[in-house]
Amino acid sequence: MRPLLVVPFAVAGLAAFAATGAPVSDSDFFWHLAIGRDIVAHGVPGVDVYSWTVPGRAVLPDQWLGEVVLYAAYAIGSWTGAIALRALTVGALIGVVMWTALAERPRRPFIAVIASLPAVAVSRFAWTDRPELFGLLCFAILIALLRSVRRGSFTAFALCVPLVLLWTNLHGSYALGLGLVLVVALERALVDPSRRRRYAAVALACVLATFVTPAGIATWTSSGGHFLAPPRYVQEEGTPDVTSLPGLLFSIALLATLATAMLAPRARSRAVLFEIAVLVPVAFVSLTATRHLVFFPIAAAPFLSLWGPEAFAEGVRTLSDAWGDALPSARRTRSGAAQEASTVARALTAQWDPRPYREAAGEGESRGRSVAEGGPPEHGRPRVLIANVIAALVAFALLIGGIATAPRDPDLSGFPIAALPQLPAGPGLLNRYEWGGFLIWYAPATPVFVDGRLFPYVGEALDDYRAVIGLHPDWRQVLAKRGIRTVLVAPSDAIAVQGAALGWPILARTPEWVLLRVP
Amino acid sequence: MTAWRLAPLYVAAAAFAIAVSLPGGDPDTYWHLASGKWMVEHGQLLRADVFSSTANGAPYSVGEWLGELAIYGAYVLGGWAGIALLRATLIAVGAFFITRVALRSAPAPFALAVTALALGLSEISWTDRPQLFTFALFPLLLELLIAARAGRMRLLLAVPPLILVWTNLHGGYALGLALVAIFAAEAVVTRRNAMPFAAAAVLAVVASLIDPGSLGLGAAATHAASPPRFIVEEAPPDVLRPAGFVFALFGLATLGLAIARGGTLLDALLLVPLFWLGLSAQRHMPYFALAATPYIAGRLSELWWRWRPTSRFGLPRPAIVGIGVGLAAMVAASVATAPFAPVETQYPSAARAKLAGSSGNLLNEYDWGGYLIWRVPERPVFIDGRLFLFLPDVLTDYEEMVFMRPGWRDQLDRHAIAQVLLRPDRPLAAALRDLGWTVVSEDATALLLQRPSR
Repeated sequence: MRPLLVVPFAVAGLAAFAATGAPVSDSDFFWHLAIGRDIVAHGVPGVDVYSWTVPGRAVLPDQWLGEVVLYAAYAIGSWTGAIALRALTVGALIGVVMWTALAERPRRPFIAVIASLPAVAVSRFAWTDRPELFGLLCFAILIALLRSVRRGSFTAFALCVPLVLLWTNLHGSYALGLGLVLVVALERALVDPSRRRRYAAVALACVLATFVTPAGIATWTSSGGHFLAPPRYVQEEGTPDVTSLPGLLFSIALLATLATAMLAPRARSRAVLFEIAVLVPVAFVSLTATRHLVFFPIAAAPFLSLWGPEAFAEGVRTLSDAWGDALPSARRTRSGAAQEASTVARALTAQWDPRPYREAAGEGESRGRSVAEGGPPEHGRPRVLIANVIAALVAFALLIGGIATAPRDPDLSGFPIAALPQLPAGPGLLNRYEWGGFLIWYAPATPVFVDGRLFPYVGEALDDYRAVIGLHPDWRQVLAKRGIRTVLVAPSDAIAVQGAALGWPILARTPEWVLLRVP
Repeated sequence: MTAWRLAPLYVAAAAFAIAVSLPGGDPDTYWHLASGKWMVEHGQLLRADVFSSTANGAPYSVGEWLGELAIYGAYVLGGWAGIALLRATLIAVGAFFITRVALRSAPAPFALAVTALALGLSEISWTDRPQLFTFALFPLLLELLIAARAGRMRLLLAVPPLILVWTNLHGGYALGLALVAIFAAEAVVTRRNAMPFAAAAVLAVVASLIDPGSLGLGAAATHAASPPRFIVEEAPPDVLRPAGFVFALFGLATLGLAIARGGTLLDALLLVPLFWLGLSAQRHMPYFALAATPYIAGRLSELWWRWRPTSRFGLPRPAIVGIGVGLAAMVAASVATAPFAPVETQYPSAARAKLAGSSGNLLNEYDWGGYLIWRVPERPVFIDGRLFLFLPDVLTDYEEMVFMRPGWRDQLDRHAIAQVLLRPDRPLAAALRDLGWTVVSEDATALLLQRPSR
């Protein structure tokens, strides 16, 4: 019996509704859209066609499927289609996270919600219109599958192969998924040696699946290079800051997991190896960059759902054991207070039966039945089904309602929209990094100097960009060497300030941007 | 096992030898030295700024006055060698006590391995500043509290005076107060020696108030919650760099071992907030590592014994003696060959003479302020490492000029800047050259520009 799906559906519906509130405004979305359009029209590209600084340079089509999906949504429903795709993906992501937490403690949806809150909240910062969101959904599904594996389901492990295949073509974050599959395969081989060949076969199949992409083996170098040397000057690639809101939410999940692990007495079963295999590597990955913060809260939600109440109950028990006889209630004895604490503990951890958990966790005695499955009794199944269907309908209604009321047009207030008529056709424009994607989509006749694809530009093009925009000592030489004819930057950029001081003609200007002609 | 009792001494000796060999040259060392010197020369505490042109006369925190006097005292007694010896001594003290703490919970091989890693991480904070006192006192206090918890309650009497001294040495005393509060909280929750620990905590808080210009707990909390990120040591840990990676190792080892072996209420109360603190800024990473050392060493040894229950760890007496002799020789050699003079290649040394021989308001790099205060005292600085003195206006003006934000020329005029001393790759340097400012001095490190006469 599956855990009641009412809560996952309800929360997923609400999240999907919330995700439709923001208009399209991510600069990277535009170049993903352009690539998706060109893939549909001409096939998967091998070289850059959008810039004038690195034209013809080899580019890695490692997100081609994600880009095609984004463009398909746009082609079907214009900007609303993109928002609908975002809402659907967010709803699925949150639903899977919630379901995974609930599966660990089926009759305590409130606890599952609490345990998932950090993941839901941090994921809010990744609700962008990019293939990255698909990668996040794949990660949540992988965690759900792996926890089923821990409960004894080999089928769930086999399902990792198609998931990794799909993920590899959607987004570069598949590398994290592959890493987790390999680590869990190793853990399973140790805990369940009788099936170790099958686990090894699946792990190998997952590795092979990552080569089934137009990028081939290069997709490994891309992910690896990105992970080991993230470009820190890009905000989302910066070091995680626990004093910012996403960092704080991440730290809540991390520290709650640490405290739970320390205090929950029954957490130390043989299944600890699984928890370590999943949580420790994911925690490290989350610590590497701001954009990775969301992974750990997702991975930790089921752990917190399973053991959080145990840890809390242990705290209550400790306090009660120590202070039971000092509590003001008349005639209360220390043992009486301890009994009350036990009652609290039982209430928090109700329907938790360690036996099937331990069996499924390592001893391999329980194969088919889910752990901690306390689901409703048989006679309650029709009611559960009805409740689930109603919840699904409500979630669907929320999704449709959100799409119906979603903003119809993208929010371009952060982009130099009014500068478009003034832009010269052909090469020669130096544009701000974060406006590159916008220009690729809205000004196809004006190739960009640099844009959010970043990696094609790493090296000389990016150095030249920084030299000019930051007014480095060689900025004049770079201007001449590159043949830069116009500059589209923020008025506060050093080159804009200096250009104005030098009397460069201002072609157009607002408080947010300035277009200067280089004499 | 008795031989292992020498381990803290050995670790302290090794830490001393390494620390004394490290070159000085931290920019903040110089203004701490200058502050100590001013206080000695004037026979009073430095309560207002005397080093800058932008905040001259502004109230100045004297929270670290004793630390600054100690550093200046070491300088007076032994020059830069005196400072290096003070640094090495304080690090040795910290190393000694953290090793003792680790040995309480694990056999020597585990305790020493984890301690060595923690000390390696802490090397990022081995700079000649009052924070070295926090590095020494944090493990000392931890040892005191753990010993008291183990039954030696009289040791709690040392806590309030320790906090009193610490408060006047460095703002990191807040960390000490947090330690005492955590132990007191655990004692109260478990109702074991609750009164003595609670009393020690209350007296420690009272002692922390006896300071002519304490940083204040509120200010310390604010600092921790919103650190100035543009300062490298205040930036979040980067786990892909060596120090951040070791910090992550400690964090993840703690997490993994907590899942595997669990922990006590005290472990949770101690390590959870310190982990957050370490995540908040690089300068705080070592304190989590130091606090986690006994936990990690203890749990690792438990796992080891589950795997190899009959293991015995011992060293023959000759080996103990040999190691001791070797360490003594290492300490002697380190002291004899240490490069006591600070490394100043990152400072505008070439421009010193030109700066000293000219006048007018100077706009200088933030990182060079301390150096200029000490090396070119006749030229007040625009800004230096005493950050809070310059918040928010001076720092904003500084950034507006150096990074060439709109209005930079107005700021340059408003502050009547006559000379600019910057790194050559600063936007302002390029712009001022274009505007005809005269190059007074130039090398790969620094560019000194003079405003043209009108």
